Amino acid sequence: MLQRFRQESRLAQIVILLFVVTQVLVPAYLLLGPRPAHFGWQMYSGVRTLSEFTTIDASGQAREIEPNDYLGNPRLEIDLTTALPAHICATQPAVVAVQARNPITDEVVATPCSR
Amino acid sequence: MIRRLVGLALAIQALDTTLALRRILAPDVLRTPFFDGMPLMPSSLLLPFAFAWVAAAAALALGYRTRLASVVLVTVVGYALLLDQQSYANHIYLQILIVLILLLPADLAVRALRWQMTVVYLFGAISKINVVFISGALLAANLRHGWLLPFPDSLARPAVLMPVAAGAILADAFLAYGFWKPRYRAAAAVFGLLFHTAIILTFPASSLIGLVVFALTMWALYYAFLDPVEVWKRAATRLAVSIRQRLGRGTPPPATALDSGQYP
Repeated sequence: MLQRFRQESRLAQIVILLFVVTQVLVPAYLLLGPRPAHFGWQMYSGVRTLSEFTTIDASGQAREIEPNDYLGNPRLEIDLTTALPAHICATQPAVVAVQARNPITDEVVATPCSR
Repeated sequence: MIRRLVGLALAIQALDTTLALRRILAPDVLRTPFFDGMPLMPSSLLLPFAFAWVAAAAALALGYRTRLASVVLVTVVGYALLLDQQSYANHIYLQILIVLILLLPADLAVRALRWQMTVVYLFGAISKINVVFISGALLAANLRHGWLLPFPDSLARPAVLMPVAAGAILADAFLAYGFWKPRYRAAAAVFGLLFHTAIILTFPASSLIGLVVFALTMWALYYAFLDPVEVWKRAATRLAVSIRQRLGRGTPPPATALDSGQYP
């Protein structure tokens, strides 16, 4: 098959063209979303606005938490807005809700723990 | 040489990723998978997993059963890349692509590798065109904690580093473009060596292995365009000649392969 591949220069051209088009379109599309994005070649290019998280217990007491304490290898590409509240609700029985606040817009997303 | 350097970079990366996976696979750690249902490797398999990775990387570097080594690497490293968003890294993704490209016939592989390198630098440049990066804040946060050459607080300020940020964008753009022009190719190779070395020396220790691996992987791709070692020798020879001439000792320089026209 490889021998045939070598002979078919037209096929080789198509392979290269498809490769280049894919390699350009994927990162170009990812520029439209939050950065940095996986598979986008956006190394050290910007900082995603990280949410601030607060847990609420049954007595209504709020406690700010450090998201990186829950991760094995923190990375800026990861959006923790939904994953972290679900994890805390599942592992900390005393918590009744988790709030995620965007420090720029001040928007707060509250996730009640359903048990 | 591309295969050797990428094999070496992959072997070094195995250490970094194994340590990261050890933390990620701990029972109380939050999982952030790319896909639901991605099978999770038991921690007990981590050592054989790392061994398979290093052995395949070494085989690739040494030219031993390279196709088998490539298949093992794509499987093992691909699994680590996609296991969790926390184990992802751009340079690991790049390494997998290179290993896959090296399975193609040589002439096709060289063309694909050239484009691959260009795409990495090009989108590295484009993605940096944003307020946060151009403000210099991101560079300040990193350069203040450089492991070998930390910038003093007076210099590691966004306002001071704004021109450096703009320069970094131009540097990426030049490296994306320069290799395609024979006139700039040698300059781009020398510049790329210095650029990556400067980043390695001035960024925080926490990024050190990743940056070294990324630099080795990008330098490997330079070989798709030229022989960077020969270019480096020529640059060093020219510098030596220039210094000699300034000191008034105008002895002729030793001829290199490049000077004799053996290289483009």
